[in-house]
Amino acid sequence: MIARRIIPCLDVRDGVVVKGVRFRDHVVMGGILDLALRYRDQGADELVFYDITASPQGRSVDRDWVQRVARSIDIPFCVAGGIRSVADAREVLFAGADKISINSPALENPKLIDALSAEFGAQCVVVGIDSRQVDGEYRVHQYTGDPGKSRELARRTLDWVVEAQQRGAGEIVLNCMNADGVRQGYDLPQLQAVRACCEVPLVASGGAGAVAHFAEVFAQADVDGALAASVFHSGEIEIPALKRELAASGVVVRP
Amino acid sequence: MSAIVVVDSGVANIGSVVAALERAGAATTVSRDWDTIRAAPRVLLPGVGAAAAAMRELRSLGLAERLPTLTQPVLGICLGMQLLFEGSEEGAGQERDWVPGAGARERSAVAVREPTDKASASDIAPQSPAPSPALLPTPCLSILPGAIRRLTAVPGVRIPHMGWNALLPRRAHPLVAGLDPRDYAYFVHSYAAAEDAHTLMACEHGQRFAAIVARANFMGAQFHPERSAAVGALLLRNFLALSTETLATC
Repeated sequence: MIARRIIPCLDVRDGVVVKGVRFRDHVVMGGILDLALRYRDQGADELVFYDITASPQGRSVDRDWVQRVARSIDIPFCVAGGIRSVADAREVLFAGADKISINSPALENPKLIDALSAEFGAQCVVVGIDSRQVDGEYRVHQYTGDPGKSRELARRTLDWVVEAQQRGAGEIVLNCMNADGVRQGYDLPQLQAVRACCEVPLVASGGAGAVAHFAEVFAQADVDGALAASVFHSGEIEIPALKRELAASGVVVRP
Repeated sequence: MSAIVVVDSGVANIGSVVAALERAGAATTVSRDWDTIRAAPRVLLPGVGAAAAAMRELRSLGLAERLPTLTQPVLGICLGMQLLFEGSEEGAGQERDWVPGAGARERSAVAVREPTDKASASDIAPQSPAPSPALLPTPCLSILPGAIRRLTAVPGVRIPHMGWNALLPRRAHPLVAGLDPRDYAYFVHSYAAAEDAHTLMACEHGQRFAAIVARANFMGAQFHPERSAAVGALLLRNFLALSTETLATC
């Protein structure tokens, strides 16, 4: 049986991994390769590298590190942030990334999903969605990487999930903004609602604070993967222990 | 140091495969030149993308007829493994391993539509359980018998099959020495070969399919060894240690 995936997310800025209150007061955590290898050794199933400043400022980013990561690690990885065109995606994929993830650029130009899927195959096109409940309706947010530009869209999250799949997304990462950074657990109701209309792999993001949160998001929202950042970076949750506890609670994980 | 030639069939991302071979200790050359490929002690046939496009490329390079004549150990990975079979259901007009957005409609219709919606299968009786490989839209290298067919979506089983899945031992072989039933490998695909006598290890995703195969000097892995951590590295090291003499006794 296919294993549920544990996915650490590394925020990259200027070629180093940073952390901090999101998009402010960043602290350099270390080198990209060092941290990638550390998580690989701990048993991460996949890594996401999120170029946190790329999309809002619209600048192109030095991507040399993608090739270094591709040649050094032997687990799949995804690059998010700053991919605005087929040419951007080609550069990242040819450098050796297994997937690319697009968020705000897909909202600006939904046809970008079609173009990427036709060019590279759905399996490497991930659509990231920032979403939260507003007046009883889940709504998509754009430019969340920049506090000055972040805005709520009229677009309903569930509609966007369906449209993204129809356009050729091979995976959806749902970042639940209400839960993000609060560490009180993933947003199960929202993930369940999205799961019901998502037939490609779905990755939960936002809210992980304890081992139990991972167990419940797999059991109750049937997500294929769970993404987290701070609990892994701080060492609060160690991946080997997390996987042992998940296995003990009946979740299929790669040992 | 063992040497290997990676067939450059024009697909993206050979770099990760080459890096994995180098980590496994192989002197690696990338080539599309038949004389270089023929002279190599070992050959790796990579593949990402669609069967029809890959076969078109191999034909235009004059390799489609020649690769089956190789006598040294040959390993196909992912699409490269699928190309070793007689033919693929992945159609000539269908350029990708997975049709974007076909999901919901296809899922409900997949059980009944199979023999009739392929243009090239119009002459097959509707009751026929599966067209013979020779009638499939994309003829392949015919080194291993059988056809590559689309994985069937069933509730809770999502296609593409994308992620880590367990390897199920079927047959002892030096290529799979040291792999055990608790090992997971990283898969990304929508089409697969059925289990048969050439299957060394199988996998299950809604249905059983061949994960590692071998016939004489030709071997294949449906998953990505370069992205399968220690399991993938072990498979590559086993392959690099194989000799034609060892294979003759398998």
